[in-house]
Amino acid sequence: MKTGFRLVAALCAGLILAGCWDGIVLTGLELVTAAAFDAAPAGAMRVTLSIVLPASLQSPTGGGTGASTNSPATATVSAEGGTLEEAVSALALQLPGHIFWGHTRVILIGAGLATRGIAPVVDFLMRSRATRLSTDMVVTRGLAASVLTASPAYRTPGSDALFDALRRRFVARAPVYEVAQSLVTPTSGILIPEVEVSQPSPPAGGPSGGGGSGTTGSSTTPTGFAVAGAGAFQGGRLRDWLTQSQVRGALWLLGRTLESVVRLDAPNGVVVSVKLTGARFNRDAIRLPGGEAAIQVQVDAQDALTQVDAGSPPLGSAKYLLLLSHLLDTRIRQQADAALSLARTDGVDFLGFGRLMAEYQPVFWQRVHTDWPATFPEVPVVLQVRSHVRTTGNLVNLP
Amino acid sequence: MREDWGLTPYQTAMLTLALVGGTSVIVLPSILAAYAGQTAWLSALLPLPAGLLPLLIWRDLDRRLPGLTLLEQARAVLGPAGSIPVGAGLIALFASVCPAILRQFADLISAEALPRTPEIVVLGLMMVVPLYGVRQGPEVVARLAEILVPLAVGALVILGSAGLKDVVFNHLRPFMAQGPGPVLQGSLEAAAWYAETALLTLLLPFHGYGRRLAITGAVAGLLIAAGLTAVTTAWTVAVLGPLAGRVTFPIFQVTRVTSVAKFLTHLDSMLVVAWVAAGFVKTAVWFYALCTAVAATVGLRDYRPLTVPLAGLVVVGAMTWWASSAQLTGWVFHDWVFWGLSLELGIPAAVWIGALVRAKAPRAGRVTAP
Amino acid sequence: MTSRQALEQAVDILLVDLQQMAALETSLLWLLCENLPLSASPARLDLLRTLLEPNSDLGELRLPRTGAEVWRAYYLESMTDAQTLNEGLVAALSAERPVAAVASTRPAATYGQAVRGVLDGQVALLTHGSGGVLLLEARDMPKRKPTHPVLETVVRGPHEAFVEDLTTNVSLLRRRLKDPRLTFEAHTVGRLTQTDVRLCYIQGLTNTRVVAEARRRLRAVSTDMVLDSAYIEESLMDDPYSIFPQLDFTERPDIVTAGLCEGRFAILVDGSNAALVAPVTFWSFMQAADDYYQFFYAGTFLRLLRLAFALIALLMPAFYIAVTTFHQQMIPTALLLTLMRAHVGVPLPAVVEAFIMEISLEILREAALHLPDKLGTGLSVVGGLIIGQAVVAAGLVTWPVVAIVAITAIANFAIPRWGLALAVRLLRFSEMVAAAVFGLPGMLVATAMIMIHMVSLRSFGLPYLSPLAPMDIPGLGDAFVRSPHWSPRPRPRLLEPLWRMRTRPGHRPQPPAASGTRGRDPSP
Repeated sequence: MKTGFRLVAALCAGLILAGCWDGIVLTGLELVTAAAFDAAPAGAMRVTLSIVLPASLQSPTGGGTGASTNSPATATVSAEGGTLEEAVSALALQLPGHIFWGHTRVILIGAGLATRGIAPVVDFLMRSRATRLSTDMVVTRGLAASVLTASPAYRTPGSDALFDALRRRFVARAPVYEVAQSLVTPTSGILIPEVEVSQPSPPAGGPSGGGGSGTTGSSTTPTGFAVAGAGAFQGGRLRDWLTQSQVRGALWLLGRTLESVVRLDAPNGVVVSVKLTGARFNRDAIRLPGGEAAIQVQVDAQDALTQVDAGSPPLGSAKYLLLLSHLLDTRIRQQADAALSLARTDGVDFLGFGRLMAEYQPVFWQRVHTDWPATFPEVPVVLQVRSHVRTTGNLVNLP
Repeated sequence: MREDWGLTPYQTAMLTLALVGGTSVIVLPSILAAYAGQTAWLSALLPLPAGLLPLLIWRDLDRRLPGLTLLEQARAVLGPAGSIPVGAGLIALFASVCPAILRQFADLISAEALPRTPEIVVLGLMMVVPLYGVRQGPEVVARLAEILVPLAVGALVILGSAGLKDVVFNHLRPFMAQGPGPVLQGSLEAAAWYAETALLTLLLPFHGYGRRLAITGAVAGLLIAAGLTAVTTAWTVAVLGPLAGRVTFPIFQVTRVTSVAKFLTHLDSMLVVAWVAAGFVKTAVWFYALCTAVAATVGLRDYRPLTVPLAGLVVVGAMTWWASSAQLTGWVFHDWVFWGLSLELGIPAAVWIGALVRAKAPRAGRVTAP
Repeated sequence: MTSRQALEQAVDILLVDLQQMAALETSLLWLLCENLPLSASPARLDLLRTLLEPNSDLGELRLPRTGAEVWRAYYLESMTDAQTLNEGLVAALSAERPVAAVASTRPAATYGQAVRGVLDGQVALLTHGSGGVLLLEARDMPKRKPTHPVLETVVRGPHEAFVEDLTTNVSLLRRRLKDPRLTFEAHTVGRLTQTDVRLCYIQGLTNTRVVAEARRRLRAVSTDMVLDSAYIEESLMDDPYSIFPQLDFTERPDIVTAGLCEGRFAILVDGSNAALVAPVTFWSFMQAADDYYQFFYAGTFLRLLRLAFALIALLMPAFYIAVTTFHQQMIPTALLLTLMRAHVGVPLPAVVEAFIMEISLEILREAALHLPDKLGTGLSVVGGLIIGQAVVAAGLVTWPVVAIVAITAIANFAIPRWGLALAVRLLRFSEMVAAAVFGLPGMLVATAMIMIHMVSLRSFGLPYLSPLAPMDIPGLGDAFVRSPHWSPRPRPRLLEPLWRMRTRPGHRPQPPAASGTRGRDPSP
């Protein structure tokens, strides 16, 4: 027993003598809420961080409670360096505290860097211990830093609800670890959402080509940014940009759903709005009767009719609902085809077909995986879409 | 020195689970995924016989020479002179692996929680608990296993299952893409872990409920450990996909991806701490093996005076033998398989063959040790 | 110096010496006579008087008998009942055929016994011819009636507590346990205080090895004075350096009775209102009497809750320190910002804040213990004000720390047994230091060390954490949960009771129709 006693005593003494190496006082944290990475001339890198200002934490009301209503202000700091880590350490010299990546919500990549290659950024984020691997990555057409500076939404920390609202608009989410997955398999591409500084545009809108239908009220958002589409990446490099509607089409093929509203122009001047409430997907690679390998995507979409805009459709009739479903099927098919043809012309497999082939047709994959970018546009795609209008809301149109 | 106590089957199971699963759960998934990719989980199950083999050898040896530890059996079979190489082999095994285990846990703690704390301090910190436990005797280590191991496994299951929504089962397809070769290669790696049951030959003679139950407990522990390793491997592959073979300590990377109840994210530190609790038990068992092996070879009746100097040596060894954690990973990846596997299986087998040759007849019933 | 002064000085020194010699002489006489058999010779009988001489309240009765014979009685006025003395002794013995009308008489064999009897409040009667001394019961000592327990109160169940009087305490136990095998072994501990101690157990149930060990340790206790059971508790422990209590002390006779029926033993000490119960486990300290008096669902719920509270009391401040200084990524972002906001302008690290709060709370607690009730309310107002407001307003401590420490303190109060609550209070500080230096890994190491200590600890051979480690699954029914009274409950296995089952299986109450196997249908 005495030995145990001595051990404990020695441990305590050791603890007190040792001091602490890793402890950081809370106020010594430079909380990074968002980070923007841009290409700088001559292969260098510019890092822009938005940091919570400690001074702004002191709420004017005094006590600790109720202060969450006024979110703290952030400042952006920026530095350049030969590599990413060099730039970050240059920033560390500018800042008094300890740069803390543990609460970073979004990583912005500038177009320049995206074309040059995002591998160093992903490597940095994966290697560091503090970052969350589920942090979202987005790309911007211009400089990422300018979007970061212009859009307070990225920089507002602490509001989970707000962030979830933002996240829902990222039509195709690209968390860091998924981007990293696509990097280690050179044949597969990935979609990274594209954001832009939102223009204070007049609330005219309307269904202009079905584009802005998903993001309700994004033009008047106070957050100051909008999702514009996505960038298609392969091997860590930006290959092409997708518009919002192409992204929507790609999502059908990727097997992901996005809450969206579709305007349908039915016969007899009827105009209705149908809302997608959920969908089941089945994606695999099959052998066609001719022995040829093909990708098969089955979509089973569930919709709700939420509004009748014009005309008086006979919603009590099963036949009519079937007609609406067919209209929806066609719409989905059109969107998907648009995305597919883009992928084929670019030769970028952001639809994950390579992985499907590897998973379901390993023998075929073994044969073609070395020149997949060349093979991929030739692979036939079987798309089966079935839509169901499940509900028509609280109003019944009885004959 | 004989302790006046008996291992319960449950304690045996928990000790085996910690002994085998303690590091296999955190280190093996990425090694196996690097070899066998999507089918890595199978590599975690195939080498089970390697873990059963030392137990079978012990069962037969214990029939012939009941109630003796492997070292005492070696002495009885091979004589004092013949037992020296056995003792030396065991000491070489324990003395090389004990620092490696300590270093693995210290690296884990360093990477996940204390990156700026000097390595020696972390190593010392991680050694304090096994040292104290072993000084208190194997009984205390067994009871510690009984409490800490279920807690650690529980934490792993709870925090792991939080990532259910991030699992992509398609990452596990196709089955054996590259044929059986890589799977078998991975199995060889895992075999070195499972064969750590060889250490039980030093503990199982303390069984308190008969040989059959002791073996049952050990096999149950081994099966749970292998199952846990397989599930963790499948889990990390399903979440991280092709990344699984490229990250260190993959289950903790999984917790970096997932969130519990939306607002609790980044709980990897919690999981590290919970799992290191099981790691203490593993380190303690290896350290106990080292201490008893040295004591038996030197001829001491009590191993306790050796604990403090040996703990110091283990810490120093863990500090100096590998320049970086990457080197340690390389050692585990390339050398440990052959080094560990050959000694873990070879030494008990040698004693067993010796017993066969010397025709030590199996005896019925349990005879108390002299 | 004149010769007269020198003479006076010499006389003074001599006087002191003489007094010391007299004192030595008395002491020596006592030591010599303690075991000396009484004898009839008159000179020896005067010895009794000499031995009792130092007591100024010594009373002597002379009862003239026929002839020249005189019976004498010695007693202490402060400790005997005057009425018993008058009626039971003087009147009765003056009669022709003397019959002492007292509760009990007991012959004394030695001078020591006679003197001790008198010091204990009995009357020593020296009958002339026989040469013996009879000790007659005539005690009248101040004693308390059994009252409510102070520490261990219950909602439902008996509200009776031990008092300082040993015989009362024994009767409290006897009333609850009417078994002839219930044994009270008499021991005397304390060279000066000569305190009566009773080792009680049920013969044929409590393991004889445990009883023998208790007897051995009790006899080995070497001390001058025993003022309370606490004095001998420390001498009875398995590991005297352990911070954990290894004997349970309780002021409730029902808890002692339950312990005896489980195969434990109890030690009652005269002058102490707390009995010691052993061997005990960690779980004994987490149980309250209420668990058994409430419905078993409630009892189980309270038990689990208490375990959670004990963990909170041990770990919560340390966890706060570890998470805010080492693992900020674990805190939800919104909460982290709130914490950072609270820390603006507070220069101290979290660990120092926590220590300030903990220490000031300890000061308050200690001060409140020593203050009379009326001042205590004033203290709580001041203390509440200091802790609640001033420390934060002064920028020494942040609000979250105040909240954490307050919750911890309340959780600590929820640990039912004082001994364990104290241990947790002390261990909390070591956890805090470990957390401040190494974060969660430090806490893990500290907790593992405590755990190792606990699994290696034994109370009279009973492993401290049993039935958890070593695992005993039937025994767990009375550790984490409280199984119903009708369920087949075994006594703790490792106590090795001489018979195991408390309740036989198959006693689950059920309506008569359900016992259909008997084939008896109540309806015609």
